[in-house]
Amino acid sequence: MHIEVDLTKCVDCKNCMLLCSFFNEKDFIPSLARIKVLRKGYNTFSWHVCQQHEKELCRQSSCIKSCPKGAIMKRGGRIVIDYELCDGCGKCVEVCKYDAIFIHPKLKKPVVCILCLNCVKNCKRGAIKIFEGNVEVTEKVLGGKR
Amino acid sequence: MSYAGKILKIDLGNKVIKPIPLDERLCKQYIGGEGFGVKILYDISEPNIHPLSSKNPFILMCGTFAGLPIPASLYGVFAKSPQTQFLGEAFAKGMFAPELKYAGYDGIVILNKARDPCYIFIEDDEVSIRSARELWGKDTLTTIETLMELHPRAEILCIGPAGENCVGFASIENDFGRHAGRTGLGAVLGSKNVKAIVVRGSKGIKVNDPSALWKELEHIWEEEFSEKTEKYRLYGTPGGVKGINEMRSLPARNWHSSYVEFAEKISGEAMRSLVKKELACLGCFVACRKLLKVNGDFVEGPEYETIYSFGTNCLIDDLEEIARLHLRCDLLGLDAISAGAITAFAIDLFERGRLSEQQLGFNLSYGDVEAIEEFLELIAYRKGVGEIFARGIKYAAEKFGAEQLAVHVKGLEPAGYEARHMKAMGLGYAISRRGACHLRSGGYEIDAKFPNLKTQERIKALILKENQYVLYDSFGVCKFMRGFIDEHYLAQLSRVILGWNTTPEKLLELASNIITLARKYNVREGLTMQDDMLPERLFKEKVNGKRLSKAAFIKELKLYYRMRGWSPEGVPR
Repeated sequence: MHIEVDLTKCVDCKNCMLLCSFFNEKDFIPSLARIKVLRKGYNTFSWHVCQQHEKELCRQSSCIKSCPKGAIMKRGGRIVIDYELCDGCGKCVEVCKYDAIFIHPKLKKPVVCILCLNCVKNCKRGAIKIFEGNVEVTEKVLGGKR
Repeated sequence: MSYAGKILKIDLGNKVIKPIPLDERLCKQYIGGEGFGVKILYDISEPNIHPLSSKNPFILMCGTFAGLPIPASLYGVFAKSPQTQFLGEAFAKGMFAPELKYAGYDGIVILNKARDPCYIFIEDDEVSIRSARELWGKDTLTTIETLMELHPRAEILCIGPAGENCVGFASIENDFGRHAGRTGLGAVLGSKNVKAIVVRGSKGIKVNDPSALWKELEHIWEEEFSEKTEKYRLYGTPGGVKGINEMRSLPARNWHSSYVEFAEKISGEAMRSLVKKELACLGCFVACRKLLKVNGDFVEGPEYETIYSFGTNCLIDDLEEIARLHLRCDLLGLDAISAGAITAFAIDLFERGRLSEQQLGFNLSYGDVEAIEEFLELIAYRKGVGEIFARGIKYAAEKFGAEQLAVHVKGLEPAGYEARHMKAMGLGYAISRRGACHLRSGGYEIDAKFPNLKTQERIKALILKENQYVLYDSFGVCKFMRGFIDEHYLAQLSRVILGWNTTPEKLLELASNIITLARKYNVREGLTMQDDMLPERLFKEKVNGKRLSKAAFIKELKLYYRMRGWSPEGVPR
């Protein structure tokens, strides 16, 4: 199972990021959201969230393989980080091709989407969906000069 | 709670940067946003300074609720206006204000002038003034894109060439298409050599009662999909074009007419087929911002006001052409309402032979998009006759001896609502603290919903609306939510978010005080009753069989002063 953002429906309101941070950090702080929808340029929009699928997606499981301490693992289809083992080296952040794992500034250790699905439930535009299967497009360029 | 707790003071002269703790009394009396801006401007400005001198402070204040998942992402900018010489204030929404709050600031006060082009970079507690030599002269979108590459995930506000050249109606742009456009505060930033402000924040915003807020959020989201916001959701602001035209209240041909035949073609309904993506400001599902694809180019807008200012006022009956001019104003950093209105005025001059081809270098006529584009360039770069128009419509009218043709109050051109048909809006234009603005009072709504009110009732309604609008601009709440957010609901939100037990009556009283303080500022800058007069043309020239009576208008004006508790000359006691 993984989360997918439909950029044709997304209006870039960032409510998902606000709610993600609200549920996981108890504050409204989008930079700590584990899902990110970004406007990277005048006509470029992108989304970033961990693609935690057991087989299909993120097959390489690069974060898991990259961890020198073996602190990242998959449990029931989710990425789980053992913070006892993790020393915050940041290798996993470097290798993630979805730009979906990041070092929490206070924890000094990586955090990732825990599939709480609050973003999915509360996107009233219906742009965030639970998806079974393979998705590769995470960026949308609308084209045109401007 | 919800306040970030600091105001950033930046002295560009000696490069001293200092965060100042937010005074709790200020919060309880002036709320935030506009309240803060007006109060601080009143307190720190020297009277009668030149708006483009280093003594004019530039103040940016975030709305109190900015940064939360509700449609309230406003920031306001404040300074003495180079366009009106009175209080200058302009507002925009988007991601900038929230990000500034995430960085830990409720506002910025910029003093003095930088010696060289610079931009201000704020990342939480790290604030620096950096060189913008490479950016100077660049258009707004290029500036934002360049800075975005340099500072990923930062939010950016900037000025265009018009702001750099201190054009009287230069705007400030953020989020690739949101503008603090009116009263020319882009020129104030330009006069300080500040090209942009870049901010990135990683602090959180707390609320007083998270579980209670959750309930309010569900209510707000429901309303965001109700019929109260439907027009904005479907069509954005251009949804109003057809209705206002049907009311014979859509100013056209430099205010010589109030109706166009081609409204259908340039309406929000017609625009829908061009919309490629809908965009929202932070925390809003309504998404009134429509991104169009026009001739392969990607354009945000046009809004209702651009459809008026360039569409009906300059008689351009093609949405794609209007969008093109809208984009041109964006890139140059011009206020699209003023730019369109002053262009219509120039066309009027041209048609009457008061402005010649020799002076301009080309022919300027209604509907001629290429010529209008060229004219905008002249203004933004102050080339040739553009130098005169760049100083604003009031100056240009005097220069051409054409005061009779120019439509403005205090030097600010009105928005697209005909004052001869809409009496509450007319008075709203007249008494607005920043010149002929529709968003200080929203008077047009009174005219549309209750056209037959008696004078006193109408003024009462206008005063209530004016007070409510100050609350929206202070809390930072989007005015498009006015269908379900009023002073009662704001008081409720204040309890939940701020832990502030207040009443709707108290909030309206605070708003009224803010308006009076703004009036005091203007009076200190030399404002008299004469400055509150509507343009002479509206009393003389009929449109659709109607004109205003000057005597009746003056009576209304005096009644308004009295109901505000001001002297018969409009001076607060």
